[in-house]
Amino acid sequence: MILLKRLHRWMRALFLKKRFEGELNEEVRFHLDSMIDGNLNAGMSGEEARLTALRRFGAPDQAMEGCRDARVLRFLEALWRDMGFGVRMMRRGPGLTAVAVLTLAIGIGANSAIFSLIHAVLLQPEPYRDPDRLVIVRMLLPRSSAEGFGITPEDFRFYKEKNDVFEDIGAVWAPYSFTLAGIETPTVILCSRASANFFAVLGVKPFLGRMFIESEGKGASSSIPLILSYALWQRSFAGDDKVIGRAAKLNGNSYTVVGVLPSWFLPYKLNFMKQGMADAYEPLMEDIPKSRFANWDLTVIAHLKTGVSAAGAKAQLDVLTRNAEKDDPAWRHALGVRVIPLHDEMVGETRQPFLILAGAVALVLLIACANVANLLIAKAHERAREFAVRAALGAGRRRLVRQLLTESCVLSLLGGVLGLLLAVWIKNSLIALGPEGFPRLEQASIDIRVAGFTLILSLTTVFFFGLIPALRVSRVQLNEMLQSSSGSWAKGLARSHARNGLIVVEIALTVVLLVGAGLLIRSFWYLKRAPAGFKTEDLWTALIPRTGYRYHDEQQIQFYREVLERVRNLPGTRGVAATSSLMPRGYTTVSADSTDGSEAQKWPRSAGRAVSPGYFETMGIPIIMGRDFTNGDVKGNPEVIIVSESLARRAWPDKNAVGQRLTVNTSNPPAIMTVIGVVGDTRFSGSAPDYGGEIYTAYLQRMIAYFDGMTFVIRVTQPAAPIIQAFRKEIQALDSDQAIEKIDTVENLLSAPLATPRFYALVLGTFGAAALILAAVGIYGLLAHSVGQRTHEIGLRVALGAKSRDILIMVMGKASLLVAVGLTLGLLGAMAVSSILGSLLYGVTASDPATLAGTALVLAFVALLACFIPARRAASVDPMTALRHE
Amino acid sequence: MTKPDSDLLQGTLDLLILKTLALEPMHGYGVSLRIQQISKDVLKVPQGSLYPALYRLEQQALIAFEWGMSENGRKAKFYRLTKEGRKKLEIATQNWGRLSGAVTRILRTV
Repeated sequence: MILLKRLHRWMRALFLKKRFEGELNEEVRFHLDSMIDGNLNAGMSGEEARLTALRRFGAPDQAMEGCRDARVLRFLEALWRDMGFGVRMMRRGPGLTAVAVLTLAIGIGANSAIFSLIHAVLLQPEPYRDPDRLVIVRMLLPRSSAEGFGITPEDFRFYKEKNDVFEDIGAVWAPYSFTLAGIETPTVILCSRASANFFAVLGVKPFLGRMFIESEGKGASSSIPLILSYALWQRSFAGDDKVIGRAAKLNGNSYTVVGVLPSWFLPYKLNFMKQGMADAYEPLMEDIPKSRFANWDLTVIAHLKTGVSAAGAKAQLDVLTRNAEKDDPAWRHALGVRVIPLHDEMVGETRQPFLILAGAVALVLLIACANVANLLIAKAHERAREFAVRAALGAGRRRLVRQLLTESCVLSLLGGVLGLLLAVWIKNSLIALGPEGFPRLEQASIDIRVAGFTLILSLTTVFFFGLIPALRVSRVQLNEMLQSSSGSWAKGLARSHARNGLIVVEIALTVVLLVGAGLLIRSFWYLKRAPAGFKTEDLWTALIPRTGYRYHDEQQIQFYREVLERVRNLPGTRGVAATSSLMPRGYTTVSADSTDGSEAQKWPRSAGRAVSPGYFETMGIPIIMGRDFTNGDVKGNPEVIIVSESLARRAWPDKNAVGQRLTVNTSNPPAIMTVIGVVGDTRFSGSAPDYGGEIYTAYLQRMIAYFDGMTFVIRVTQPAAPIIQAFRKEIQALDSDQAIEKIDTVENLLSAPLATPRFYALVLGTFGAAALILAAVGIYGLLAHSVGQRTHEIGLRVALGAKSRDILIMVMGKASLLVAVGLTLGLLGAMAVSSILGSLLYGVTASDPATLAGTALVLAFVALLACFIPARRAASVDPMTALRHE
Repeated sequence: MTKPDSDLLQGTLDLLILKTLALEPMHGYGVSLRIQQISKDVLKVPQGSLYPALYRLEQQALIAFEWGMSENGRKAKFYRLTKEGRKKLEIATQNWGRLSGAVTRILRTV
């Protein structure tokens, strides 16, 4: 109530100013009149009564000013007046205002755009129920990387029964390719197996139909229930809302559609193999046979009980694991588990690069602020007379600072508004540039939070660019201003250390940004140029997925063999071969054969592929030693293996690798194979950090790797389109229902993993370029202004005999000193902080001398160019004009 | 900003105004007359202080005003105590009593 009353008073005081003044006037007049009346009654004459009253009252103006001061919102009134004044000042210098506002808009806009991305990608909670208490459980094995593996079905069951730290624990299998038939166009889809409670753990409700029920995990029904993703429902079932209960065939088995998932359910990264999102889900069977070398393919998601932390859950699961090993040491060989909060798992790889981008964009803003600060100082000296007059009229230091800060606020708010518009554009460009399937990137939007962020940012920038000019101006003493001419005072201001300091800081920050951008660009360049290990030109690939009709492995492989026979000599090709996968799909550990009693020696994980004879020749991978596979390398004959050069060198540094024996841990018991050949290394895995090498088996003999089809590689000598047509025809002649997927050039496939590094390099590079331009403008502005100020002095020097070369050297010399100091500081700073780029770098170290030197050169060149233009103008000053200038 | 000199202790004027208005609503001129009369001309309230004080008290919602007719038939602003003002007066009076008592004691003994 009191508050309301006060508010009412304040509002009235603020908005009814005219009325307030009228009332105040009337009140004072009444008082005076009353006094005069009193005096008249006391017997004074008219004139005497009036004078006495006035004397007694004192100056009415003073009293009235006191009353005005008593009003609370006087402060706001002054603010409003200052803003109005600021706007008028800005309209008088539209050029400067435009430059300042635009500079700020670029800085603020870039920051807002990055913030909107960070908000969408990093800050937004996962769209699941209770996201803070969802964790992913992974297995740590002696050979796994620190990331950990997925979990085997039996371990999942074990933890599910024994733990008491989770409310619930669900699992989902890495998706496999299936052929979906029984609909209009048979297609290949990715299908996952999900435990009955998987969706319940995440809190996902069906869009249509229902989720799995517990009994379906026991394999009781004749038809397997199937849950469709929203996208598959739209794509293959035309969004039919009577889809529930429809029959479908997956790999020849009967399925019944029981549910459709909501469209927002996009479980990025919710599978250990990271093979993309599943199109459909079938129930995870509970009675998968127990085996020692099961697949670590389950992604386990658990809901922590209230009061249990991720660390607490890990501690318990680790104890369970150790106890289980005590009971049956042969049974499991896990080191323990990792329990990772779901959010960390989702943003893990993106957090660091995005924070780096945020840091970079903050630097751009700081540079923009330094530029605007310099502009304002320059502007302030032009207003020297105005400030002198204001000070003479009694404006205190605080009042002057406030006036300048208010004007800065107006500038930054304008910059903020423009920046917000820019942010929309920048954000859209970033999303368009971003790698495909980047989790949640497309969800970034310029919403109320981003607007709020922009507002706060705009006001914060005032302190960075507005404070220094304001304090500098107000520090100048009044008498100093009045005694000297405004010109010399302005010179003092222009020569200020603050401006030089700002330029040095600006250059240093730019160097830091440029070094970061340079390192990323060089990394990307190395990645792109890293030798593929084979000839990438004219090489096409096509995936022929395995199908349900020939689900049995032997039949499937026979089918591929027939395909190869038919397409081997397609006209227009110089070789056709097949591999279980082109990109590494999972890794295998190999070790020295220890059957002769020697100590088993293990080597880093290797990428395993099963390939057809002629694969190396078709790919252009050199066979360094030994021989290729032949059609004679089939089941029953001695098992043979081909290893890549780096593995051979690591395993047998001083022996001939051909003829050596290897233990390959893909089956139980592990296979012991004889090396028959050594081939060149290839680089298919981008920049996998712990990459041991590659191993190849004969596809007719042993499928070493997980495989969901064979990838055919075709080396073409003529335009590809008709050849691909012929290839398709040959396959359809064998089986008209066989799907052919992912027809593409190898060059395209190779560039896909480069999309993310390219994105980061591009964004940081753009920020670096923006910083460079801003810095150049800043240097130019400073020098041009200073030369303009010193025209008189320079004219005098010329008149006294200085050559234009001397003037050039004088001006450039001072500027070069600033550039050199900024450059040095920047390089030191870059070396100090560039190590944060760490994992984003490839082929270069954080203190790469070439990058540092290149940056220094580019910056020095641009900076000196920016200096040169005003310096030349100084050098061509005509002494006669200059001396009349004053 | 210039402030008129005041013979009154800081805050004392506010207290006197509140006390004066506690008797009846009054215009500014009335307040100054009343203080002068009651204090037997010891305290002369400078107008330069009186009006700002009135406005300040009004902003603090301790007093309110309305326009009315003065005894000589002119339009005048009449101030009156609000509920909060009355409370404030009570507290301020007690404080004043303690303060002046203390000061008096010190002046007698030392």
